[in-house]
Amino acid sequence: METELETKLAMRQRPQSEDFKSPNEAAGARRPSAPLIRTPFAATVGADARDRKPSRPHIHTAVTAGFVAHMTPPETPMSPSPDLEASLAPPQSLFHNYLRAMHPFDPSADSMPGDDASQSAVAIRPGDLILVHCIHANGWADGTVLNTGNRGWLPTNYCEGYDHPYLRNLLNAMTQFWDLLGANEDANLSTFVRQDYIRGLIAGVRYLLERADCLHRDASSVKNHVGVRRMRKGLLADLSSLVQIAKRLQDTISEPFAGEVIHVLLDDLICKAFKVVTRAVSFTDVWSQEVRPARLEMNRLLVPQGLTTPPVESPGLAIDTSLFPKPGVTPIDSAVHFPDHARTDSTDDVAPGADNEAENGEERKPRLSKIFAPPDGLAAHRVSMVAKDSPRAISGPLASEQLAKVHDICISHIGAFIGHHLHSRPSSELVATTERLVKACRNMLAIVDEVYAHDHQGSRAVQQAKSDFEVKLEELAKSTKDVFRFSDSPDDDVVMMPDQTNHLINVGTSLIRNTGECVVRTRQLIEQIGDFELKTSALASSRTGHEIPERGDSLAQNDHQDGDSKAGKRVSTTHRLSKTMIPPPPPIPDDTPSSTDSAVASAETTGSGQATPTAETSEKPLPPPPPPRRRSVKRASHQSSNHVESLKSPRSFRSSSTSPARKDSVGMSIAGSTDTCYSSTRDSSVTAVSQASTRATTPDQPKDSASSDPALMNSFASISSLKSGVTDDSLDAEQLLQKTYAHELTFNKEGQVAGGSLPALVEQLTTHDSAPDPQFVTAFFLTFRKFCEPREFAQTLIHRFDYIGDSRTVGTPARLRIYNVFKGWLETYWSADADKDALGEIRFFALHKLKQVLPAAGERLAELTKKVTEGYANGTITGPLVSGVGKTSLSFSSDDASMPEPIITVKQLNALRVATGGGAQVSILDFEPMEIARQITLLVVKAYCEIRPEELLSMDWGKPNTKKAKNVRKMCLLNTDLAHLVSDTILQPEDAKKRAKVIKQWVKIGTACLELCNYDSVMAIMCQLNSSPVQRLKKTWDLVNKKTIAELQEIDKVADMSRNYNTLRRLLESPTAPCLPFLGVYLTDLTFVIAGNPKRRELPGVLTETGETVSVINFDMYSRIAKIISHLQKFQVPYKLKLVPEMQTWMDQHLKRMREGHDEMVSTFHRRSLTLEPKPEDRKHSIFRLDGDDRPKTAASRQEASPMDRFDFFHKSSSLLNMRSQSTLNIAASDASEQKRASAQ
Amino acid sequence: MSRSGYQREYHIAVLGSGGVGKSCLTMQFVQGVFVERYDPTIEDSYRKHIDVDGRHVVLEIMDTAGTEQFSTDMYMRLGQGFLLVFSITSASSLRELIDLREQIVRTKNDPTFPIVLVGNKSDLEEDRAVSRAKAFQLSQSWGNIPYYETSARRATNINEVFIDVCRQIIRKDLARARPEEGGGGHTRRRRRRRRAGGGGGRHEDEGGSRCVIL
Repeated sequence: METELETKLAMRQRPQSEDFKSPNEAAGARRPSAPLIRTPFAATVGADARDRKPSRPHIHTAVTAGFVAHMTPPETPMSPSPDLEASLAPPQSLFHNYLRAMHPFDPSADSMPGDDASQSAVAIRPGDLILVHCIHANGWADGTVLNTGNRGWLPTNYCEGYDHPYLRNLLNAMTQFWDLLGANEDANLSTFVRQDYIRGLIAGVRYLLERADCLHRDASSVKNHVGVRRMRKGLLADLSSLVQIAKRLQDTISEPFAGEVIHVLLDDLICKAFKVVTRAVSFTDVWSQEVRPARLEMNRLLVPQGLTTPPVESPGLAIDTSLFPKPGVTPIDSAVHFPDHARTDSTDDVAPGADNEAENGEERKPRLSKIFAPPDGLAAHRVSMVAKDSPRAISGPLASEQLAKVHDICISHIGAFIGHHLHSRPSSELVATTERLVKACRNMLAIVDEVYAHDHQGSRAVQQAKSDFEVKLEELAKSTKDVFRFSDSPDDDVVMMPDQTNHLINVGTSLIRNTGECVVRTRQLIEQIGDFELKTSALASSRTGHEIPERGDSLAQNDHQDGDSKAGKRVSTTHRLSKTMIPPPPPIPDDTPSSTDSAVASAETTGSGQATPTAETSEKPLPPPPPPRRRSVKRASHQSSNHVESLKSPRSFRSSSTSPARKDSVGMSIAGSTDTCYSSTRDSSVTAVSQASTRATTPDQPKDSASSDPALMNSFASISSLKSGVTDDSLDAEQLLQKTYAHELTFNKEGQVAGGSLPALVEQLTTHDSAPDPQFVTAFFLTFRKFCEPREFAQTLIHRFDYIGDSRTVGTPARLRIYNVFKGWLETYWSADADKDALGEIRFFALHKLKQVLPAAGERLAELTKKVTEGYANGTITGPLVSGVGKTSLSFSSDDASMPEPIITVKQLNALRVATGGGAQVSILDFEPMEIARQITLLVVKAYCEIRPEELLSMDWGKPNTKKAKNVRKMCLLNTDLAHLVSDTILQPEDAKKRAKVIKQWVKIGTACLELCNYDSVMAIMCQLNSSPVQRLKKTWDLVNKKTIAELQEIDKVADMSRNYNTLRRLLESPTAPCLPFLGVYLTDLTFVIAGNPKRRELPGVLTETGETVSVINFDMYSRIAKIISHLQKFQVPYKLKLVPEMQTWMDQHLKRMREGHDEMVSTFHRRSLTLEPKPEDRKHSIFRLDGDDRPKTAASRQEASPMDRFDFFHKSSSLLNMRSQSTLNIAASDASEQKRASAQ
Repeated sequence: MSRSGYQREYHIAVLGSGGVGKSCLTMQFVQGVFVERYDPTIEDSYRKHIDVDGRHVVLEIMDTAGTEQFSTDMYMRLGQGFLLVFSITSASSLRELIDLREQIVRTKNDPTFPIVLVGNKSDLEEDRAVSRAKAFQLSQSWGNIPYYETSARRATNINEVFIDVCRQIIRKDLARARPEEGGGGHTRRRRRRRRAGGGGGRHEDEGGSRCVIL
């Protein structure tokens, strides 16, 4: 048999591709004259096309649901793939999230008016900081210019990658902030209920100032350097207005009318964030010019200082100021790299910029060459973000998008394939469908291949997924071929066996899974290596020269085809289509703009390069890509009110809402739904404001003097008092610079803390501006002992108390929260054993620190520590002073009226008394099942309510003599004892009839437990009714009536542990306490959360100065643990049932008896079972029993099928997608059972 | 039974006393790559698709980790293959398997039921308390079942044990299918065709054997 099998396997593995090389031939030869065999099911539905349709999307959604989030539905425009440059470029270079413009670039100056390129490209001025979303291989980057808030294409060779060790945290925070806003674009605004998202920015600024030695107003570098001082002031002012907006947002978001206002605020918020970052960059520039040399060469301290003129006047990096020429300005603000007259030149013309480029050409060259050169195609790191934002602004097929697209196609083809089998259709169609499917899959593989090839390390996961996928595809092709194997004549009907159909469906289904797996892995890889443009899909409209791309040469694409003509056609169509949608990004200007001539020339080339393809690919001018919507914070202000600094708008806007007139304008802007209307309204308000109120300062440097401007101060103050009425000095920017660890905190997509260092987590616990998230607090308190010593926690809290200071706005609220945390800890979460060490710390803190600052609080805390200490002294302390979280909800009202009367007679009670006293024994049959169930429930719930969180956290319940998890252990034992009692009682009577009765009784008790939602006991009872000693009692089961069997099936459904206790979990999703969940589920979950998640995680994007990643506590895991424990605690509620002491004692006695024989019980039962009903001789019979399915239950409702079939069905059904295929299967199953019966005879 | 070849979802129970690293073993197999977020509470947490000798199968791993003290009858009943896991650093963990194995044999009423003996924590060679020879000897006495030493931490031999037990299940399926293949398959096939109203009864023999492979 073995050899035969091998031959067959070999047959299977032989490549079967011939069929698909000449599919038309094959289809033609086998053109069937009649439709395929129809399963009865399909016949009833009909093979009508209209009926068929719905099934496909159904499958699609069901299977791809997990990936939907990654899909990028809109057609992505393609652009030429710059082979030449790609080959010249270094294979892989660091992707910079930020660029800094080195030379001016103005698209409107270069190209004809109305040219679309001028609208999709964005103007940059030297010194501008750009947040990069992706970089095209030809050198154009899609970026947002932080200084103006505009988004569009810009030439990267005009820029330089920007990174500064001091600024890294801030830039990182900015990137995350942007991504967060991107993620929250649509619905989920919950993030903004708190101000967590802004802390990263604050921390970043602080980090910068700290590093620069400018943290304090009185620091020498601040005092001695005018420029630094001013920039610092400006930076803090910006930061404080950012915080103001965040606060406003927080206030607004909870209000009912929030809606549109929030979007306005979000715009302001991001504007401000941009502003903060640009200001920070300016600060760094000034600092490095003024202070660093001074620090390096202390002797020449005076030199740089003497040279500087007041930087207030510097138009430097204040955004639009370059529009106003300032004669006599010294560019102290521009970094070392920036030549003076790049600043003083106020026009946006290319030529002047090129002038100074010429001067600095040689110096810059080397830098430029190393900036970045994405290997080929677009490069973007943050795939998820790009997927969301890019369709608007990007015009290149990113690998990720391309992947999503082919995946879509693939899935729909597989869907069609499966659909085919669900509705039996002619086999010719099958051939065509399969063919299409294989092609689609190969297309996808081609893309995956390319991504794979792109990665130099070579990802094993991708390779694995890919080969899995290939294998599956092969199998599918082969199986399909098998269908035709037995029809040798061309006009023969191809007969599809239902099992063939099922098999094909199965293969198809798993192919979908493999596809998904493959895509997910590939996507991960893309995330790792950065997104890029694909060669395959753009399919190589190769460039003929450096600057001017050859477009529209779709013929050239064929060179790059893999010979798969159909796929090629599809792709090329897409290509053409996309081309007509958006013009490709303009070609890159001259690589090294070293002379005026070349720069101008390149600009001209740009113009012509843009014009040419447009003319070629379509007759009429194409619409430019829609401007990036809200994120871009597009401004129309440049022309209309060019004396107003555009970035002023957020603040003006904010202050505007203080006056009623402004409110109207807000209303207007809300009403205006289009972008234009929106921005113009806003612009007008900007103008109005600048004219009316706040402009006492010079228009070009308002931020720098913001905090010193009394008018402005007032307006800030009025706002803050308007909002909270508590803080009026909240504007003091210095206070924002409280020491913080926010940069060591990371959030997940839902805005919850995913990880952080202990100080960062503690900070999160004691935020000064908003009450901490209760879920976070609970999770922290439940689990903190798993990641730090209690003493360490206390010390960190005290440390926080020290560094936060005593300012009224920040220090005091934070300190009060610290006090509250201590109080909560002692009162609610104190663990007598574990936390003992920390008590001394807390006491000292209460008496010597807290009391000085907040006397009442100090007093109270000292008192609490005293109480706890006393507790230790007299040994009364066992837990927290006040009962824990879950227990606070307990209602101990013994309201007898609402409790049901026990269903028990006096006679029964007496019998119980006699039995427990050692007299005549009573049987389980003597009592009402419901009452037994109630008493069992009372017994179990008592144990359940005693379980403490720390027991679960100890993970110690597996040890027989555990001290740490006594109650968990007790509960587990109770469950097993009950289970054993079930078997014990069933296996007691000699008479089969009586045994059947006991089974019936237990089934009834089980049903009653189900009614009481006592799932723990349901599991125990079912476990034993299904155990082999009971199950093998065939004679007994024959005597159990049908009604009982039906009931048993019902319970069995609940107790089904397959699919990860799916049924049980569902039941507990909508809990109706009182309820007793099955403890085992929690224990398994806890075990696997701990086994499956790392204890620490790396902070995304954060590197130490030595370039190492920073690892912090993986709080995500601890929140998961806390979630499981909270879920368990939710049910720690007593039942409103009356205790029957007699029955409790009686049950106790029996359970104890079980406990005593615990270890031997299983084998005892087996022996007893064998004695009662000896093994049948018939070996064949026992084969069926092997599967444990020789009983009248399990896979419920299929009583007519023989055991084997039920067995099969059970396993099959779960892997199938929908009911249709199940019914097909069902037929197969019953067929098979008929056949087997026949063969048995 | 031709259809048994199509049964591609298998329940594999992972048994063994607490602390032998069952959960890590299962995690390593199901998860493979280490992720930052793993949620064990969802339906598919313990499912894995693998190919065994070119056959695609879905494995549902039923791991007793965390619930060792509960009755194992449920696992015994549902399991179609078993991994009996002990830690090479603990002799008692091996002893406890003897009972479990006996229970399996009893429950399934079959001394040749698919089982693999797994000595986990092979990376802790210095703490070894169970010699390879001893474990192997035990596996021999249990009907010559395969014995593997694994390291969940270093991910060695993890897939192998699952694939091995899976292979045993498949072999068993085929063996069980064989005796009934002859007459039964044909009857069924014929009826199927009749119902279809389709072509004659050609290639029946070929068809029969093909079904077995698939």
